[in-house]
Amino acid sequence: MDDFEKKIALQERRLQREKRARKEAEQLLEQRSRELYEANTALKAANTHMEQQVADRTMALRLARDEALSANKAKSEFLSSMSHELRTPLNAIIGFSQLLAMDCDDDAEAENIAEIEKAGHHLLNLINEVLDLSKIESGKVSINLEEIALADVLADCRSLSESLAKRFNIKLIIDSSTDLTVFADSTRLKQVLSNLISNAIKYNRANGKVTVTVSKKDFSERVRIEVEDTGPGIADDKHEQLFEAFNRIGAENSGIEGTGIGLMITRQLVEMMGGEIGLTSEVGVGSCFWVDIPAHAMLDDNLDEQQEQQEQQEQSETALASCAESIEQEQSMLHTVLYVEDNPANLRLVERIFLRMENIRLQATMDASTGLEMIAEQKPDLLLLDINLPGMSGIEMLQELKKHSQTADIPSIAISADAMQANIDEALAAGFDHYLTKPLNVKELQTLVYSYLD
Amino acid sequence: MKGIVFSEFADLVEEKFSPEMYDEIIMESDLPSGGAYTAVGTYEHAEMVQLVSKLSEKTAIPVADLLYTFGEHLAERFASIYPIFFQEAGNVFDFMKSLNDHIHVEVLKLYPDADLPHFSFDDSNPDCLVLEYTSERGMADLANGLMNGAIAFYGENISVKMIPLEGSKHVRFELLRG
Repeated sequence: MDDFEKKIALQERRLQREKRARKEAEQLLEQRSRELYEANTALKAANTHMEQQVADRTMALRLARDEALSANKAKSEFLSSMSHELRTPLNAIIGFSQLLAMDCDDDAEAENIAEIEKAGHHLLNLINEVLDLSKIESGKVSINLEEIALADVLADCRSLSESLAKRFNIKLIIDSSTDLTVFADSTRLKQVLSNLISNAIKYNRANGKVTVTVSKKDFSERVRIEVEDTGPGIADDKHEQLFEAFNRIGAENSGIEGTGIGLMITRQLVEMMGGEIGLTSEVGVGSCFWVDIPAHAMLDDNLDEQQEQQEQQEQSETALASCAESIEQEQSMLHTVLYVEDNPANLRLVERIFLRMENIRLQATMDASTGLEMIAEQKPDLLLLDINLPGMSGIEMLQELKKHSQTADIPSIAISADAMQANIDEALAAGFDHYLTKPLNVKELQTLVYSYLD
Repeated sequence: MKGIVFSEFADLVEEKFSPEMYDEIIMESDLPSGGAYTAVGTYEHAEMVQLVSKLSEKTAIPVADLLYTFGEHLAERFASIYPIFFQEAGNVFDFMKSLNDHIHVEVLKLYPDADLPHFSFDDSNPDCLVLEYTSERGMADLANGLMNGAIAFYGENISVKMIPLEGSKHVRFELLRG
């Protein structure tokens, strides 16, 4: 065999090997492709299955969340209407016990009556706080944030808490000489601090001390207000429970009055103002509750506008007061007051209160349209109108009276068990000069009535 | 053994010696595959042993030297076919350390039937990486060539010391920097 033939034979073998290798490669490729295709199909199915699962879970979660939300809303609404219903009979209990106390000569009996009234007030506090809480939870509380001077807030807190401190013989030290400002709702901040101060006074040791201090770290966006007491202190593991409803740690049997939801409301209010609340405490030494409130607005638009509106309101209030004063001077000796009220117990209570007031004749009716007729005829000097009257509300009555020049200027006081700010605002906007909430405080009603008549 | 080792071996023999040499060792060996290799296939390890032995016999070059040279060639080829592994590691030591936990893991994803050697390492000395090669195939010389190929790729000044612990199945490599 010559070289040439050898080369041909070699190339022939190489070609055969290459062919065989190619076939094998093609087979492997085909097998790999099939495997890939199957894996891909399985992946797609798994993906679809997973998407379906995610969709199902999301739907289930959404349903659960909606249910929880509506259950919570129903709870809040129930609490709100329940509180309202409770206030009406409470009005009679507190009012009549106040009347009884005025007539009572027997010391032992007076003590019993005082207990009834005290219990009534406690119940009222509880109802008010439940109402407050349910309003916060149902999102009905409006927070009006503005830049406010802390000195003013602290001064108000001091005057609100002084008598309580005196009663418990606690030294109250509030340093209000600060020029710091915070961005908060003035009313709600006062409520927060008053609550903390009142707790610090009530849960203190005998002859103890309550200190309120204000501080702001350099470059900090928040102002810290601290309320420190010299009470028994609270163990670390109890701190979180403090802010839960009806958790009166260690105070359940202390004889100190409290509702057990004050701190829960306080925390919610602080959080609504963008702040934070917490405490440090040492058992046997005392507790220090702190509140951090934003020092500035994130966006301080509309501030000037708000201030302007406020000033205008103040001006018109002063004008109204001086106008009322000049009317008062023209009053004759015997005054007539007309009361429209559909609840017999409340009606009787107010009638009894007026029996003790000199130079005033009380006319009363349980029906709104009769009331309108009586007002047109007798032109009374003052109107007391219940808001929730059957057929026609107190607000509608007043709107009717405002239409006629002869009755438009008669001063009017709304009396209602609705203690919600929205209701109060609505009545005042409709033209009522004053709004009293039931249960009525006898002395407050008397003072107010005299202020319109004298 | 993966087909790429066979096809690279064939290329190397044809290039360094001649197509005739490769044809001869194929013809004189008893190969189930008939010497037809494709890179994506898998073949008996014994075929490689036969091929290398036959080549050693024909050329009078020791098997160890042949395997070492083949290792160097494979390293160069891997760097051009799978540059990503070399770029990721960035240097010889990190590349070696990534063999078991990264490179071989990826290889197994692509070829689940691959039977890969195991490398354990000790990097307690920053200038000396100690690797222990364990494989039933006893291809430590091939591994040695691969390591030196990788060192050449990175252009680092590293020397490799090979210390047999159990023939060529269990071997310690000491890679010394500088």
